[in-house]
Amino acid sequence: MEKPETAVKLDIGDICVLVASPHRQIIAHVQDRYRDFLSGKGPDFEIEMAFWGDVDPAGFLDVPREMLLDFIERNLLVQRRIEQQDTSSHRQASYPLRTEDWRQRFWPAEESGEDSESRSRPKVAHLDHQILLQRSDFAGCMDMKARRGRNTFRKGMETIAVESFLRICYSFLAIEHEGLLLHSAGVLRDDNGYIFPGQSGTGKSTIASLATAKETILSDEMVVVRKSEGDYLVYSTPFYGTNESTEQNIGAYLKAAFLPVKDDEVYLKETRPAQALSRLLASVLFFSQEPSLNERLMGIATDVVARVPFYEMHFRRDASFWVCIDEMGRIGGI
Amino acid sequence: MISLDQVVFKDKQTASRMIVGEAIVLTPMDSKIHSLNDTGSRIWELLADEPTVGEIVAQIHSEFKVSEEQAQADVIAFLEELAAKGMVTLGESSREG
Repeated sequence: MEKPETAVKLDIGDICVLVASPHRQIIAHVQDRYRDFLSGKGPDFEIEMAFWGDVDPAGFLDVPREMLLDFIERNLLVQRRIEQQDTSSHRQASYPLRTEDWRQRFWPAEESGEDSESRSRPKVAHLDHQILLQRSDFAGCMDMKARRGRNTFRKGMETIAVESFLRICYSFLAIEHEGLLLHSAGVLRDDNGYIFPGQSGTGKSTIASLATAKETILSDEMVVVRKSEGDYLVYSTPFYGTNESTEQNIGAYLKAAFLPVKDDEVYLKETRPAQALSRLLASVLFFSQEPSLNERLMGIATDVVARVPFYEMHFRRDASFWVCIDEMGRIGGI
Repeated sequence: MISLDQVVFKDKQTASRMIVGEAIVLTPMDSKIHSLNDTGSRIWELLADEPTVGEIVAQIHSEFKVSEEQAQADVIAFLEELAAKGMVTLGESSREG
């Protein structure tokens, strides 16, 4: 990595990532947005971030230019729109235009249409030990062997592009550290951690918003679950949904997992192990197309289901589900 | 069209687990998680030995209370679905010996 002007270190799930950039604007953004998760530890991984336009994306990421044509073209279009609004600007684009059906060579068949989910999901390609990730707003790579990554995006896109790339990086790093980055609300209560995994709309934010003074929210959107000496710990993250970010970097013993189901009735229901595994996997943020990593993911998720009690939690929009959880604790179910 | 002498392989991209008799299969290309029912899980389990379609049909016919014709129709329909979801690939011809 070339000498950056400045850098900042983050600690999420007890995994430290150094973010470096020649642009103070990017570092200032990271320092402010993730201020409760700054770290002084030695980094497990390093990421360099630079603005598209100031670097040639293919050279910066060290990947074949044709693999980035989609990203380059999309960003050129945006740049042209900006330039058309500014009549004093007459810069010419210097990137080659698409001349062949390059897409078929590298990417799976395009889904028909582009809904918001497919737009937000990055395209992933594996090149030896490098993982190339791109979306309309950023292009990045992770070299798992060299323990470093790079990410480039347009000026003004820091908030979304940095957050998305960090989430993706941590999804891979968590697997490497025997953990999972999960779409899940996380709550600390009486020194025990509880998770409520589920995709959007399942009630994660609602559960977090119903916390009383007795509970500390680890996140209303994403937590890290990692194994430590035979037990699993749940960690808060700065990745949040509709509520504000937690202001504490906390790890706690994971006592139980509850799969939320919105209902008029409030009760806990036992889950079959396969059902728990299926629902847990559906909540994992993961993008690998690489069989050995997928196998590792499956192994960790299966182990979590074997070691942590899982229940389906039917709940309504009040805190009464905690009565059921406390009762389950009293009878030894968790 | 699937024929009885074709060999069935789990797709190499998938990751799967049998957990208390139920198979959970991850297909990374579309990031989908597939839960298989009893019969589906049994067929998935049989794929560990890379059987022919005919061998799967014979096994399902002997283990479940279905006629051979019914087992054949069900197994082929199921394998077509698995292939469409990228969970299995089918070899062109039967193994030698």
